[in-house]
Amino acid sequence: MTGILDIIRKELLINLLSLRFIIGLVVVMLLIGLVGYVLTLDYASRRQAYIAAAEQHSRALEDAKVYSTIKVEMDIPPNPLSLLSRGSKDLPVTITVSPYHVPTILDASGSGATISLDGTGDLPVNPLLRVFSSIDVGFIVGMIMSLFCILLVFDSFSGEKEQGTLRVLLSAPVGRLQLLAGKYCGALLSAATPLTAGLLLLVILWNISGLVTLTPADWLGLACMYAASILYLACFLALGILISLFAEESVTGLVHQLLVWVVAGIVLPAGAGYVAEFLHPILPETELIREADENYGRAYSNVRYQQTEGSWNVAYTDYAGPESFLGITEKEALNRVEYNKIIFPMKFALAEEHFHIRDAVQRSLERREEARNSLDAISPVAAYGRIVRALAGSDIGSYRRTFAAARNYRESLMEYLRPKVATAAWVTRVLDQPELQPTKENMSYWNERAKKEGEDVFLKEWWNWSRVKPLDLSAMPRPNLEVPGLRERLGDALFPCALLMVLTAGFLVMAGWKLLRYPA
Amino acid sequence: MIATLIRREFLEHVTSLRLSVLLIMTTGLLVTSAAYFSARYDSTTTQSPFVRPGASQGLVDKDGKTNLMMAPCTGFGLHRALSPLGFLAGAGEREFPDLVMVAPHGLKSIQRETKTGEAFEPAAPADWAYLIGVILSFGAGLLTYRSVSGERRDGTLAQVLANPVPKSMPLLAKYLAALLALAFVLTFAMASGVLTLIILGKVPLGGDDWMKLSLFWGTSILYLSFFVLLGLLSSVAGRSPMMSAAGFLLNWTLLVFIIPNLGGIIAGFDHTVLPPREISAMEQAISARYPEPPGTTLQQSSVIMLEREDASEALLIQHFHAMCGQVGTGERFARLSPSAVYAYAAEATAGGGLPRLIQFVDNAVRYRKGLFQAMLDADRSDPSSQHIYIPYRCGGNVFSPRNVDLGPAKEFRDLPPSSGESLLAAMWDLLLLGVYNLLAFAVAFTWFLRQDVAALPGE
Repeated sequence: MTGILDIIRKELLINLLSLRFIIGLVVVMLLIGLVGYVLTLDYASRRQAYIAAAEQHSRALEDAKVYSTIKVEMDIPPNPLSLLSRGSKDLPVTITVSPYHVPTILDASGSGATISLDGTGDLPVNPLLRVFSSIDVGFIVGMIMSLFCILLVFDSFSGEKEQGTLRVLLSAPVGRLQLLAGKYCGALLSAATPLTAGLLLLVILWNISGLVTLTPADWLGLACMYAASILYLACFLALGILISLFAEESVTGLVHQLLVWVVAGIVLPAGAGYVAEFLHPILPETELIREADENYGRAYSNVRYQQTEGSWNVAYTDYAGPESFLGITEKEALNRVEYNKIIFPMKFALAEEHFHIRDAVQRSLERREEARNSLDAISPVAAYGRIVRALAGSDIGSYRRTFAAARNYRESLMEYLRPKVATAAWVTRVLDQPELQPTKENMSYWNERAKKEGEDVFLKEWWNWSRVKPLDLSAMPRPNLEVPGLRERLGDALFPCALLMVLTAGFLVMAGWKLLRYPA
Repeated sequence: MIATLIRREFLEHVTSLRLSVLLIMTTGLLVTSAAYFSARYDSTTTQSPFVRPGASQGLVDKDGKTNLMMAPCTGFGLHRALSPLGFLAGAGEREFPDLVMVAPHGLKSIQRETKTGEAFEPAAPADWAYLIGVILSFGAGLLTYRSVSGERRDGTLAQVLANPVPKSMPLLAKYLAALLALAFVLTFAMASGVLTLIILGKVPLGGDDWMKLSLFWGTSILYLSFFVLLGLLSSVAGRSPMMSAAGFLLNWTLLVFIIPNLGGIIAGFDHTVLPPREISAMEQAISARYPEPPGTTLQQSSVIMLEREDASEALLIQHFHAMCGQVGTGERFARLSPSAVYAYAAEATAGGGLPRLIQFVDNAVRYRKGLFQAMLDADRSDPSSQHIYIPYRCGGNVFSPRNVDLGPAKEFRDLPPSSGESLLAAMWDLLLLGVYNLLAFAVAFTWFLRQDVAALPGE
């Protein structure tokens, strides 16, 4: 045991005092500090936008005046761990639930992709900056630190061979596997140092800025991410040591490791993406939706034609707004209810049909992801990317669950709303506010006032939507968006973690086998 | 003599395993990237009935006529024409806005249409500039890292230097041989990729595109030349092949991964872009600047509202240019790396990037103004009209209700730049790449010329 500790101590000291370690440490610290600072500001901006949007959407709901226009917008809170893995630039920030729309992950529209003069945020937003590749802590560990690991171990055994010290080491009273374990642990401790220092720097930055508050679950998630990063570095170190054992010259070992790195980090992920796209193309959503809309359009026209031929007054738009409430008498309102009872279930059915189409498209998207994951499964870089995205909640699995929760909420919302279609309050409030109806008495009153005060009085006072009291929605199910917890996210990260472990163990076993067979 | 040296080095490269691996990897990726682009190019152009690249929609009916009375409240989209060479360098093509929403009296917004499923793509699709920029630049290091340090270690450098040829000749031969080997890989891989596109037949490559492809090839050679020189420099400076390889690796990581990726972060420190709330307040202040006092006639109201619209459009354009300026800051920083310079030059060559975006928005503004003027002219020729255009007011009886053909003014022409324009847009980046090459050449050759035969080990 003392022997192995001595080897670890020696390896650690050699690494810590080497120029490559110092360069690696400085580069990693600088990058994590700089990227961490920018992503912290980005997180603060997203958090601020989330709070503002949540307030606005809550106010909009409280102000609902007819049932048909109820639209619940549920905002997805930004995950503090997304600081480490930002994910795609277009991840959805709001889920819209309405009787006419069933949410799917295809609703992802991103934030700030439009340049206009409207907006409420206090921090500058520039959608053009998306042209730069996004760099986050996951990228720094995945690409830069893996190179750092290669630099740490490329000559761990081949260097000893070149200097002729390997035979001396093998003849020392330390087992060969102990020697391997000592060198490996020493390198792992050295590689973990910049990572630990970088993450500590990040946590200090969060505390000083006060812009990021972590819950106990976030701390746990951060710890898991740290552990996953160590596992990833361990995998690259094991691979490096294995290649170093096979290489006769350090430089050959280095070149081979770099080739493996290029293949694992660039060629496999890029190639897997292309192949997955060919194997599972995404269904043409727009064309399918257009087809469904055309069918609906025909059915809808038939109904409207029948109604205009009949006695019902349908000279209004289907959706409620000030115009559907203006000038409606009680009789017209009741006629409208009969019309609504036919036309709105058709709209709900269309929403369901759209959902089925979009669900199929979503499945094709998921199949593409699965194919990509299978194709680049052997790449530790890809596996690590999947782990951090899963833990940060920026992967497809997390959003699938979030949208499923939103659809569950929609179900309960529809249970509440469906019976309301048969009430006048679905589109108008004239029944409970008779003073707004165009009865003879009311009309003569408003005409008198219009003569005295001008035509504007109709618009400003009578046809004024704000005169209508908001609906009592106390019985309506409250929006409650459940974002996946740490346990579910951990579940998603489990398979790529296991894959990394198997790869690491495999590399170590092969390295041990090679070292044991090395001639004494 | 130099020809013999080059032939020897070149043959050594082309028969090596590393060049075969590079050739297979690069060709495979360029071919799949081309096939992927081809599939996407088709689906992008037919994705929606509203996507008609380079065309306006909404204001002009299927007979090519415009209803003047309905025009003031009609918004329509102007789509950026797609570049058939987006596979060369598609960052701007993919990420920059591709749609401008317009009303006849002013620009409303500049948008980017999202595509199905792109939110869950872990990484942007790799284009040719990225693949060549990463893999072949790495290959340049593979071919050159031991060319001098290896000879020094084996003791053959002294023999090479003792030959009766100018001292710089061996290094020049190594440089040209490595560049030739890489040019062979590049040409083969690019030809395979282009052949794939031709076979698939979905991307229409015209005469000008071949010029651009040649320009891209030349740009790539210039870029690879820098990395060959960097590899030689590492090889000259390193005491052993291992030191040379490690030195090249460190520089390569810095130039290919770190500096280009920091561009976006550095751009964030440029505070010229105002927050949305401030911009919104500035727009509201425009209304206060152009008030409508009581008793304003409809004619006066029209003038005031159009002035407001002009001011709003100017503010939007100013806001957009501030954003472009911020991107420019990031790009200027990233240009410290030849990799970024190459990516921008390739993008300009392919007809994309920031200059193309600005050109598209300028085209949209010019088109909007021409169309509006044509509408006013058409209205003036209607004696029954009161000739009062009120923004956002449809169906009013003050503007001509005619259905008219606005002629050439209705056609929105947004063509990708020609090869000459592309060359002009890429000129500064090409010059910068040339400067980087000269610097690397000067340092590598000076360092090499300082080698003294007598001081070499083994003598």
